[in-house]
Amino acid sequence: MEEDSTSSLFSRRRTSRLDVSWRLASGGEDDDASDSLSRRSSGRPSVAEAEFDVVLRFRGELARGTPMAPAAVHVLTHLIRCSRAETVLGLELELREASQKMLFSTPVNSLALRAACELFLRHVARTSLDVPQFGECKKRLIERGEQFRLMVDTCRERIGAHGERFIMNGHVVMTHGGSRVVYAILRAAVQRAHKTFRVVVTEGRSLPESSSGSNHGAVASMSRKTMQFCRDVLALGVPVTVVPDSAVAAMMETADCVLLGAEAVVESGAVINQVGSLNMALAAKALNVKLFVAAETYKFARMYPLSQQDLSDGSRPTPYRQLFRDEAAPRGLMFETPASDIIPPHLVSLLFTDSGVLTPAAVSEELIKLYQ
Amino acid sequence: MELEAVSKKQGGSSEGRSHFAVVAARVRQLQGEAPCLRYGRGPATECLLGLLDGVDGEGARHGIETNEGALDTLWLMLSAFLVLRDAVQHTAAASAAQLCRAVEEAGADMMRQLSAPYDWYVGNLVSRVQRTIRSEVHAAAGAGEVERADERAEMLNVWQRLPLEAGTAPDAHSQRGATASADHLETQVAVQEALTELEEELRSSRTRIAKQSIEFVHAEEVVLVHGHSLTVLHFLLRAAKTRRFQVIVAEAAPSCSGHAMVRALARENMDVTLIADASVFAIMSRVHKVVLEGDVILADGSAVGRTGALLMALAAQRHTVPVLLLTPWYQLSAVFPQDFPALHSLHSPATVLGYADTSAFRERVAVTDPLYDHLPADLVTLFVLDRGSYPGSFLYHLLRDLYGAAPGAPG
Repeated sequence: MEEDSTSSLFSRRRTSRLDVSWRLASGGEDDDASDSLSRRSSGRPSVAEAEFDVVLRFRGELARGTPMAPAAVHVLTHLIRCSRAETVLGLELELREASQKMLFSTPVNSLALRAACELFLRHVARTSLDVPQFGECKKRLIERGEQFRLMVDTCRERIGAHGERFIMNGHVVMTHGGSRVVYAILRAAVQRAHKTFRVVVTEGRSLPESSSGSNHGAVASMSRKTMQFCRDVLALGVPVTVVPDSAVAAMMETADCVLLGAEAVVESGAVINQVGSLNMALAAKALNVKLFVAAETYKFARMYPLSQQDLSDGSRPTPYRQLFRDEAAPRGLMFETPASDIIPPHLVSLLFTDSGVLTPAAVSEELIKLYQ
Repeated sequence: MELEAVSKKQGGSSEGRSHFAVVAARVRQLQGEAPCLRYGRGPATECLLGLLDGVDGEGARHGIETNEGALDTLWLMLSAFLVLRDAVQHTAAASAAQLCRAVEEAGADMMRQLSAPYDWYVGNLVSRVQRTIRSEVHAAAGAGEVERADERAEMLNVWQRLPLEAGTAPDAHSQRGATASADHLETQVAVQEALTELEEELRSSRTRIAKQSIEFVHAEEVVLVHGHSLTVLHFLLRAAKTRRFQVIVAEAAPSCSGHAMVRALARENMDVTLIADASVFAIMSRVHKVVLEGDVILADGSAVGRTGALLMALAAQRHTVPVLLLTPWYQLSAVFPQDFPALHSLHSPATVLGYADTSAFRERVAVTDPLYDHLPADLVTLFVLDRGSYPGSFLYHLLRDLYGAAPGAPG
C-alpha cells in the first residue's frame, strides 16, 4: 500500500504538471514515506543543510502562528542569509530544494505554500536581473524578505478595510473554514465601522484533526482552526451560531452574504478552499446570496484546474474507520475524503485582496502582473 | 443638430477662459462682503450655469437643480469640462498635485450643486482629468523612472509595493511623482493638448456609440427600448439610415418619457410601437434585442437604470434576448452598490397618484415612486461604450484605464 502510494506519487509527479497534491497518509505511517521521499529528493546534500534545518525552522514558524506562505518566505530568506552559494543559480537551486522539503513536510497539501515558494523564486530571478552584482542582489533579497514579513499584517489590514464595506448592519454573514483573513474583515467591521451583525459558522469538520477523540462520528467535532475562529469572533462581541456542514443549504436562506477565505486562487478566478466551500457556494448561488472571497495576493497561483479531480489524488481511508471502531468495517467499503475543493469563478461575486476589490475576471491580469 | 451649437459655444470659449477668472474674482469679493455666500455656489458652478444658460436658457438651469431629466447630459458634461479646463489654465501653480487640486476644487463645487446622477458624472470627469494631467506631467517631467514608479504605485501587488530603498515609505514614489514640476512650457502645452483630446472624446462619445449600431441592429429585427434617451435615439437613427427595422418603446410610466421617444422616432419615419410597461414580458418573445441606456455603471458590472429597466432585463433573460447597455464612458464609476446611496432615491409620488386624489385614504396608503432600478451584472449582455463593446467582466480593466485606480480602493 505504501509502495503503491509512493510509486504512484512519483509517476504522477513525473507525468502531470498539476502535481499539487502529495498524499501522505495521516498518522504514524507517514514518517517512513516522508523520509524516503526527502532522501530521494535531496540526492546531493547542499552546503547549507548542515547548518540550517529548513523543516525544523519552518515548523517553528508555523507553531508561532505565522500563516504558511509568509513562514515559508521567512525560512527562504534566512536560507539566503546562511547560504554559501556564489552564484544566483546556486542560490536558486538551494531555494528550490528547501521549498521541496517544506512542501513535503506538511501533512496536508498547501497550495498557498506552493504558490508563495514559486513567487519567491520568481522574485529572486527578477531581482537578479535588476541587480547584476551578486552581493548586492543577496542584500536586496534579504531586505525584501524581512519587509515581506512585516507586510503580512498590513495585507490583512488592507483586506479588512476593503471587505468591511460590504457588511451591513443587521447582516447575517455565513462563513466556513475559520480563515484569519475573514476574521480580519469582521474585526474591521466591528472595531473601525462599529457595525452590528451575526455570524453563522459551519463546524468545518476537518478530518485529520478531528479524527482523534471523535465518538463514532455521531458527535460533531470542529476543527481547531474553526474553534479558535469562533472564540475570536465571540470576543469581538458578535453573536456566533455553529451549524453542521450538512445544514449549509438549509441555513442559507437566513444568510445575507457568504464570506470565505482561500487556500489558493487560480488563474481562472476559481478559488480553492477547505472542502465544504463548494457546498456553500452552490447553495449561495441558488438562493441569490453574494459570495465574497478574501485572499492575499501571495495566494494567487498559476494553475488552471479543470475539475475537482485535478486537486484530489488518492484517498484517506484512516479517519472514517473510526466510525466502525466497535466492529470491523464492512469489507469492500471505500472512503473518499478530499481536503479541498474548487469553487468555479461564476459562483464568486467579488474577491477582496490587498490589491483592491477584484472580480474573478480580473484575477488573471493580477497573476500576469505578479509573475512579470 | 445640438452638436453644431456646441461647436459654436467652442468658438465662444475664449470668453469662457476669461469668464472663469472674472467670476472667481467676483465671488471672492462677494464672499468677503457676505460670509453666507461661502456656502453657496462657487465660481465653478457660476461658470457652468453661465455656459449652459447661453445655450439652453432657463430649461437647462431647471434641469440641473431638479433632476427632471430634461437636460441633455452631454451638454452638461461638455460645459463642466470647459469649466475644469479653465480652472487648470488659471492655476498659478505648476505641479501635478496642485493642478489636480484645482480641478478637484472646481469639480467639488459643481458636484455640490448637482443632483444624482449628474454629480457622479462630473466626479468621474474630474477623476479622468486628474489622471490625464498626472500622466502628462510625469511623461514630460521624469521620462522612464518616474513613470515606472507610478506604474508600481498602481500595480500595488505584494512584491512591488515593497520600498525600493530601505527606509523610504511605500508611498514616497507616488509623492515624488506628484510633485514633479510642470514648469516647462512643453508640459503646459502637453497638458492642454491632452485635455483637448479628452474634450474631443467627450464631444464625439454619442456619435461613436451610434456608429456601432450597424453591428447590432439588423434588417427586419424588432428592437425594444425603454423610455426616452438621446443616446438610444441616435443609436437607432444611425442604424435606420441603412436598414429597416421595427422599434417598440415602453412608455416608462409615470414620467411617460416613452411618448417623447415615440414622437422623435416617428418624425424620422421609423416603424415604432408604444406599449405600456406591463406588456413588456408579453411582447418579449417577439423581440430580437433590448437596447437600454443606464444612469450609472458600478464597479462590479451592475448597472443603475431608470425604474422599469430591471423588469425589461429580467424578461429579456427569461427569453434569452440580448440586452445592450449603451454607456458613455463617464457613466462608469469605480464604486460598489453600497457606496451609491442615490440608488434608493424616491421621486415625488404626485406623478403616480395626485395628492388631491388620496383624500379618502391618505393615512392608510403609502405611495412611492422609486427613481432607479439596480440591474445585476449578469443581466447585461454587452456594454456598448464609445471606445468599443465589452462584457461586464472587462469593466475592471476599463475602470483602471480611465481612472487609474482599482475599484473600491480606499483613499
